[in-house]
Amino acid sequence: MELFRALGSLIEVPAPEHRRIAEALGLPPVPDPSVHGAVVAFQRYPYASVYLGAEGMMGGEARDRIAGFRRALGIEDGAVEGGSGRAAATGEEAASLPAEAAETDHLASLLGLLAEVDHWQRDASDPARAALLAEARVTLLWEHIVSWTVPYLASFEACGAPFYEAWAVLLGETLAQLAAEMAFPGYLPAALRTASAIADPREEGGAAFLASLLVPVRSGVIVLRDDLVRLGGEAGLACRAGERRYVLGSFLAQDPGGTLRWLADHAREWGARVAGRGPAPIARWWAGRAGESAALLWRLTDGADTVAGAGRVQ
Amino acid sequence: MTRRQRGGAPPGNGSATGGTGSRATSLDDLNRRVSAARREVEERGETFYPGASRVHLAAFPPKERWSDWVELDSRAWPDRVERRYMLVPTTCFNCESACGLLAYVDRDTLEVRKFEGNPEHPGSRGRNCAKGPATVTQLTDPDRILTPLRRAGERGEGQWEPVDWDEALDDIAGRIRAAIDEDRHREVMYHVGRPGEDGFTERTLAAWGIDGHNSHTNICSSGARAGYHLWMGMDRPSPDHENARVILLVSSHLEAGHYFNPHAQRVMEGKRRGAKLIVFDTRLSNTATHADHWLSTYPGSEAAVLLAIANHLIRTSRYNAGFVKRWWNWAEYMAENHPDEPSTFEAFQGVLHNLYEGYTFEFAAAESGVDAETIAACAEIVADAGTGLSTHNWRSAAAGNLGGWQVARTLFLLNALLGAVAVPGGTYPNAWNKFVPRPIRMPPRHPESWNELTWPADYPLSLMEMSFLLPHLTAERGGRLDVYFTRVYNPVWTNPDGFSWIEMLTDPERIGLHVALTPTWNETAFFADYVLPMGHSSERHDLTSYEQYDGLWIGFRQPVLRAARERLGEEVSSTRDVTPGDVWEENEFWIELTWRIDPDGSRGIRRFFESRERPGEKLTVDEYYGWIFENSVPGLPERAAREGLSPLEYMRRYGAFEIGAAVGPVYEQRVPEAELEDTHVDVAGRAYTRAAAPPSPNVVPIPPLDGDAEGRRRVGVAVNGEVRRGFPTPSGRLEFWSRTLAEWGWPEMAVPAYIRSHVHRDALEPGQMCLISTFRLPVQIHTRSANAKWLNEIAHTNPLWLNPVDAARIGVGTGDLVRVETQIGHFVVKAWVTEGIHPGVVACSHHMGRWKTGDGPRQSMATVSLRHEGSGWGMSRRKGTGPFRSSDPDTARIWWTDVGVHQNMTFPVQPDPISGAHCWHQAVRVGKAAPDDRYGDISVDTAKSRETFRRWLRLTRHAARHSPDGTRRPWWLLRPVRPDREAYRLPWNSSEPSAP
Repeated sequence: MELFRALGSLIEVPAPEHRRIAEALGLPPVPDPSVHGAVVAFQRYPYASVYLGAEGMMGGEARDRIAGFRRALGIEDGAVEGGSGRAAATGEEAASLPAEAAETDHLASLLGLLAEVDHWQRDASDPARAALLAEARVTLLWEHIVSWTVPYLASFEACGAPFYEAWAVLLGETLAQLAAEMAFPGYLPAALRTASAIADPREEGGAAFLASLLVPVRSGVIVLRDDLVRLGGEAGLACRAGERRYVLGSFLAQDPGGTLRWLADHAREWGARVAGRGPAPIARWWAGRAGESAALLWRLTDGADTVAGAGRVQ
Repeated sequence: MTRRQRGGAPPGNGSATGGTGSRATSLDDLNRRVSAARREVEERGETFYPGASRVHLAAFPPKERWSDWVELDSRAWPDRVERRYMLVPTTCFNCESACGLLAYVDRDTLEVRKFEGNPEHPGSRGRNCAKGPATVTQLTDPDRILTPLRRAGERGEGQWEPVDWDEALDDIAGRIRAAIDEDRHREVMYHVGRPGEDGFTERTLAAWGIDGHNSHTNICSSGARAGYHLWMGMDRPSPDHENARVILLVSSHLEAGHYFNPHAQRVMEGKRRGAKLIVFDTRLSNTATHADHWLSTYPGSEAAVLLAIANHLIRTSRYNAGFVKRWWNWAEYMAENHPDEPSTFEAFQGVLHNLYEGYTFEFAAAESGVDAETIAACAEIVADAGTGLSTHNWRSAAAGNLGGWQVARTLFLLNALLGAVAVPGGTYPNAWNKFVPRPIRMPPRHPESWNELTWPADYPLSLMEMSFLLPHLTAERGGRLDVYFTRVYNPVWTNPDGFSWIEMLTDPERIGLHVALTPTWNETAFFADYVLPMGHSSERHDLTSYEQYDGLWIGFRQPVLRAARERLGEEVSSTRDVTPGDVWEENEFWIELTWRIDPDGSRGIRRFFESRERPGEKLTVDEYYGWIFENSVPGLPERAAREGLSPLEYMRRYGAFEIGAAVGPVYEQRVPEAELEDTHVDVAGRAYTRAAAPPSPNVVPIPPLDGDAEGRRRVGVAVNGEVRRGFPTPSGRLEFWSRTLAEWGWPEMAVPAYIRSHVHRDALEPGQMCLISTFRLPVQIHTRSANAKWLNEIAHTNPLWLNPVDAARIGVGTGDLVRVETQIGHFVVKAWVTEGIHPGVVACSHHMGRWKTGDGPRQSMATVSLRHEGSGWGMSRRKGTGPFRSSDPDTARIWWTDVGVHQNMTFPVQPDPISGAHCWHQAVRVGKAAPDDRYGDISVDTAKSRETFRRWLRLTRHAARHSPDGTRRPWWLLRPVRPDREAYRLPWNSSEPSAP
């Protein structure tokens, strides 16, 4: 469905061309690029690796998995032989995609690829190849898209930008509908299966704990800059200028107990927020991981001083 | 086990579209609406999905908004100040890659604010290196030359006076006219550094009837190009890195100079697709850092390693015997060299096996210093490449060594063995990936005289002009140039032996009038009689096309302010009206000069520069390019018409056009029946026809091949009974064995072989080391970096790379001064101790060490004192660069003082006796600087330069003694301006006593 490509394009920096796409989709007016900067570029990074990677950063194994998927699909290796069983895409199909693949895990790339694979599948005259493409479509959607868009799209709820709120809802619904039509494997996506939980500071130290709090696939929670500002305001803490880890470290230094309580509440609320979204196994996993984090954070409020120095530079 | 389950869950709350009862229907509807909207927009030729959706986050302004593009002014931050731009394409001029640029022309002030990449350019695809965007700093340089200048004192004294264009043009044209009228055609010479264009100047010189084209190429790429030319008739490689399985580079320049950006981006794409990258480079270059296998070969040993790999392919029967049998001239080789053997392919395979069996991995290891296991591992990788082996050599080893041309020849041997020739992932010949459109009024004539100063008969096989010998040839053989143009060229600084150039340029007996056409002050212009300011890349017209992938494209360089004003409805008749100061652009300059040379048309010259539309009037650039785009670029008129534009308007709007892609193996193409008339196939399989050649709009240089004795023309080569296009070589096939080399005195060099370099360890005296000077920093331009402040800030020094082993032996550390003694003098430079260089070898980047004696560019030139007594010359640095106040506030922020050292001055000329290429590597002694040595000191004895010139001259095999047919040069070899065939005849008979 071209709809996916159109929805994916809207997470890019707004350009006048996006107005036509938004109109076609019945979305509110496309905002100024500065709104995109505030809502998306500086808070909700649209890269799968940020939400599925063990460090919560762009690149790494999470991106490599997607690159590997593209290679398996025959897009990257330049040696596509359609119908041979080696690759799902024919040379012509693969050529229709950009060769540059440095941003393979960007949401726009992933949704564009989903639209293409869907298109190839519908056009495939060879039943074997059509089946191969159907399998590829399931894998793409399950392993590399809904595995992280469940919490990611939830993060746009009440973000203050009507366009992005509506876009997230529409994309969520569209993905859910597609998912409802598909037979998924009985196991979780690899990134979720292999992700460890947040580090227990009593065992692994404060720095490891702090780092893992900001890794969505470990904590089950997305902690935005806006969340930290809110935390500071509600807990009466001075919000230092800096990146998220630094800010959170300074909160823990100022009031470890209050900060942990706030984070525990946030994790619990977050678990509730994602529980009903998207494919059930994935939503359950994210909600469960957030719940585990909330429980640990509550436990840590006793003896909270153990995390007070978590943000200190070693 | 895969247990399946339905994965759907209720959608989230809310609805973007009002929450219809049937979301399934709604999503289908939405999908249809999106598709319909896209079709409607794209049918209008507009962009529906901008930026990332099209090219993966490489966002470019949609082309339909190029006329009115709005951006926030970054300098106004944090205020939100909108600037409106007109985006006008042009072509970068800061190397020969000809990457596309988009000039951001401020609509309010009509100033160029910045340059970014042009996404419509098929070669560079919107990407640029640092040199492209730095163009804007060249435009605004406070020291740029803005008005024509005439020498006021003695040459080199630094005294100048403004002169108006009319006066300068009349003076120059008068001298050229007199030379032509008095049959002194040889006394007019045009010497080009950065050509940046295809054919305009050659056309001009052909119209004048002079054999006066001189290029810098023999100090640059001609060694490698000679190797390629002898193999396939075409002189440049066009590697398909993007689709290769194995990429093998004998060049650091791939990521530091020529074709840097278009090739480098495809190398990385190839790697991303799984290609292995093998790099031969003595230094740890940028390219080497990206390699799977970096072979730090001792300088000059590259061919030995390549032949070891070839031997491996042959010995293990891993070569493409079908291709070799079909396309090599093995039968000709066997007939001429092994007449007693059966003339069968099997016999040839046996000979081939024996020919290279001595090139073992162990031999290559001993020569190169790379261990045999590594070479064997690389050989295995190459053996597995199939036809997906892309290789490239441009300068590097081919430009450094005696016999460097064999580096390219042995490198291409691997392609030829694997059949990786003009197939996906292989290496293509450039002429099949290059398009030079036929211009209006193409002069049919050829110069009647031969210029011995550029094409001396000592070097009959030289690929290009023996340009760097000019000071010696004019001194030794009495040559004189009455009008000598240096055009975007700086031989005093760029060439070896710069003091000999100064001696020539300051000698009025040798140089009557020196005209420097340059956008920037340079060391050669200081010794000119006229300095005429020419435009930078956004201020000139040129057509370009280069071999960067298997496709054909043209790029249009244009004065962007002219195009911008025309878009606003203004009429611009002369580009001078829109350039800064009195800067001009070259096309209009040459047209005007030609009219003044032949004011009444009586010499038959002016007619080539007359308008067709308005007979008797001057040709304009609009008509020149408009005619080309309308008549000589297939598909362009139709493409332009689809957008309601004329072809010229289309090119002014988009700057580039792809004529075709996936050209493929042209040699395999069957010659159509229409071209086969009364066909004759000779015993060598060459096919000749009486049918006229179909007219081609592409006039890319291809060797002229003689017809048969009955007047038929060469049309191809017969393969298994069918006439195929073949290769433009004398045999029509890939020339493993070169009859040309064999018959012109070099039979021992006629097959790909290893020649021990002049810097081979055995050739060095005790205490000598090899100095590599053939690399540069990727952000520097040959000469014109002098006014690019961004580039100067990034790179402004060239220390001597020294291995820690050598540094310890000499007793120096990083930053210490060392004296480097060459055969003719020495220079003093700082040491940089690094393991990134082979022990026993030192390296120093060129493109550094700019100097001036008085006024001149202040950003990057040291102020020096010159001393001259007899043949002794010395240079010492009085001060480096530093901050200064100017119209550009940034010049007050210059924080560096170093500008590097001008090492080339201390190098003698070392011409390869076959290719004619200068062999740059130097045998040097490196020691601690003497107590009174100062950084940047240079000392040279030009008498020793002359001795070296004579010594290398003795290596040649003169045409008078070795020409098989009484001519100066094989007719089929490429030549930029080709004289009349009669001029090819030698003036001497080898049996005459006066013969050289």
